[in-house]
Amino acid sequence: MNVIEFNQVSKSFQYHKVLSDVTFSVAQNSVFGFLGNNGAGKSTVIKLMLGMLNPSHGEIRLFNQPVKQVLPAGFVNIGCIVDTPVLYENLTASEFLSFSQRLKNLPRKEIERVLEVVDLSAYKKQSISGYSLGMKQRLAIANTLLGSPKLLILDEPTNGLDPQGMQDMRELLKYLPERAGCTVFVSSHLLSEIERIASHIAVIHGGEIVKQDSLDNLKGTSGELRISCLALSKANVVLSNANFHCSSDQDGDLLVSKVTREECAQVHHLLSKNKVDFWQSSFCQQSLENVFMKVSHQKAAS
Amino acid sequence: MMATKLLLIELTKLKRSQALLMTFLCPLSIVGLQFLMVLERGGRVVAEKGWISYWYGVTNLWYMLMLPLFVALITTLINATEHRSNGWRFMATMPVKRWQLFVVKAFISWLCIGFAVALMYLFASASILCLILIGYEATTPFSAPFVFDLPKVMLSIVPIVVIGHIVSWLFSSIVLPLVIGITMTVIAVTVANSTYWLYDPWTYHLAVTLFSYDDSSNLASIWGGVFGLTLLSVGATILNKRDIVD
Repeated sequence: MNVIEFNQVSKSFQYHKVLSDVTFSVAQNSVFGFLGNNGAGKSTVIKLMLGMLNPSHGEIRLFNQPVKQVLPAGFVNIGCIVDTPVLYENLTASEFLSFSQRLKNLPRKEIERVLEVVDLSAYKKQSISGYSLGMKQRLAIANTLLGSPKLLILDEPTNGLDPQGMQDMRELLKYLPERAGCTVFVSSHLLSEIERIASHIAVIHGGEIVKQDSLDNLKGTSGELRISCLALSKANVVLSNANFHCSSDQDGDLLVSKVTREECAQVHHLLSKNKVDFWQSSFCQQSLENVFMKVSHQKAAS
Repeated sequence: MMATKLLLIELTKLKRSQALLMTFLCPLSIVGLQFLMVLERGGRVVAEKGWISYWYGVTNLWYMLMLPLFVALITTLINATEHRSNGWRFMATMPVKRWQLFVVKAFISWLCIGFAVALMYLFASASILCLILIGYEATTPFSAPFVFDLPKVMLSIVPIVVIGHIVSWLFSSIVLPLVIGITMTVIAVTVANSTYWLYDPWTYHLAVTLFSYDDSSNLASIWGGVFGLTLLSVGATILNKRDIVD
């Protein structure tokens, strides 16, 4: 079942079209990474998903129903952070969390539970105005976790978090689908973070979805093999004869591109067989950042 | 049920807020001003004209100047809480309808104003008690006009509360709603004494109190209530469909 579905959704503000025929779906119990440069339309997509904006064209469905039918009552099952954390600085953490707790009909102890999860229990009586940016972000995350939501929609959730906080967040998001049956939609600039937690990815550029697939399919199975050896030219000839794409880099290493993990063994075998000694070999799969940059550049060029 | 919860949440937002502080400070400043003026004159005015002159001094300042300004201020501050904290987005992700939030927020503003008017009467009475305790005397007995007009006043101010609420809901800048409030307060003082007062909602509370004649008090309160609630319904319907872009 798809938890989120966008079918040819367009959005214009007066005469300015910010989204054009956006189509994607988010499967249940997946972590869906949504990537795009500043101004690409990420926040607009999230606002449309949350019913804050009305689409100019197309259909948006949440939990298999039109978004207008699901919301706002459906927010009982949805936790979200949109842009910078929304907090009332004159209140304490407990008072702030009581808003969602009351409106979602949750027991009071839920507040204690989520404060424990984000490690803010010790500060629950302190005014939010005295919180650091990271603490505010953790409090915003705590708010989204109230009541074990079925869908989390997070826009830049790791903003302001320290390395430990980012790691905790990563662990939390990665295992939410299997532990709590929760679907996670996360938008971020931090590609390395998304790469570690997401199972599916969509890339938006200039208001259009330019790529969407599972993370494994996007990154592909091939990568680059870097070999450090003395007999560089001999190695080059041996591998080129076997139809491998070879080049050398500034450090004097041999780069074999577009190889799979299985072909790496073949390369090693060929070098050994031809008595080419090498002291180091490392395989590097294509990163999400490479994929993102390539897709963005292709779109910009077209 | 949901409206009650929303009301409790909006009341929680008032904790340690500027809006709550101003609800105490505005009536206190008016009474304090009158109190200091009497102290400065050494009780001569009270002795000659009685406590009624003191009471009129406070209520004139309050109804002609402070109340319309306070309406603009309180509606601005209550909505500014959301503008400052990206609160509109936060509340838009809660299981409440937008029109419910709009109506509850208007109601909170209206409650604060009612509380401030009641405080003004309380502070004025307390200040008279203070003056009596420090030895000031009047020849005429104490009376407190307008106190029992409070329900009518509260009905008559509904339109300006709703107008202030709509303007401050739409614009994040606090300047515009305050400028509108100040301008309309100045105009209202001129219009209130004319036959055109019914066309200016900022005069309705004056028609109930200071400028009351014949049936103007009843007309202002009934018309204020009807016009105000109509504006509230129209505002809620329009804002319910609007995009939340900021």
